[in-house]
Amino acid sequence: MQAYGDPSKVFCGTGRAAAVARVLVRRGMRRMCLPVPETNEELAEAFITAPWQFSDGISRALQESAKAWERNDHAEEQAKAEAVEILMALLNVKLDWPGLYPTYKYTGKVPAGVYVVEGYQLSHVWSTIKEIREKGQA
Amino acid sequence: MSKLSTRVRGVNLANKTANEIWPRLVEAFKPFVGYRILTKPGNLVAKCEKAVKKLDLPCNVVVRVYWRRSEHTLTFCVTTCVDEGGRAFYYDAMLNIGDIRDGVLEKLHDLNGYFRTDYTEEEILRKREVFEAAKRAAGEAEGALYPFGEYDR
Repeated sequence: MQAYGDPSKVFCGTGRAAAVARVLVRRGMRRMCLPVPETNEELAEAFITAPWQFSDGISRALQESAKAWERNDHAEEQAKAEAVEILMALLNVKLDWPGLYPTYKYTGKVPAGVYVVEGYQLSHVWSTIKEIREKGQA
Repeated sequence: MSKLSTRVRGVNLANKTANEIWPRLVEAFKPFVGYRILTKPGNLVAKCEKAVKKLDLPCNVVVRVYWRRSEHTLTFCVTTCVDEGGRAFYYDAMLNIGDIRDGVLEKLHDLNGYFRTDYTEEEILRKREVFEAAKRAAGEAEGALYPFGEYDR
């Protein structure tokens, strides 16, 4: 949908999608009873540290985006979808949109021995990222 | 540092944190036994959230404690991320501290002695050797059964 520059800057930006992304992380942290950081940079860091904790929020945002598409509310649809794109860009994961739901592709450096799974499943993204971090490159 | 030693450290750290926090969590949730603790969408009610926040549970890059959404159990998760030589190891220790039915906290569990904090590299290596030997023996025993196999289908 959109090409981003520095992902963390986009996350801290003023656009609607960035605001939705920040709300998603903030809400996720509140739901898990974790202290919510004050600055946007800290918020981005909290997401990057353990993104798998926000799977619920991401899935819900994608569902809401799909529902918005169904009722022709394209501003809402774009905002929710781009929010997820912004968040995943923080992790060097690129989204493609073959349909209403995205596929994920890790675009960062991959150490030898790590097999990057591409597809619709968030859990595959998380396991790829965990494995890459375990090898010390992400 | 070997991969195993990183893992052992991560697991021990998570379990140590779990041992430290479960009595505090149980204490915090005691007043809510028999009361509704989940809202309709499945979040913790505000009173419980406040009670948990008061505990000031660890939340940093190395150790993070958070509530895990579930309709049937009151579960907290201790996630550790141990870094040794640029390598990260993640481990989750689950604290199932209570049962929930229809949003109501039914009872709390005693997790005393549930989490071990004394794993050592040597112990794991020894257990792996035992497992390898048992696997080999099982393979040989299975071979000796040929051509009949394990069951008569």
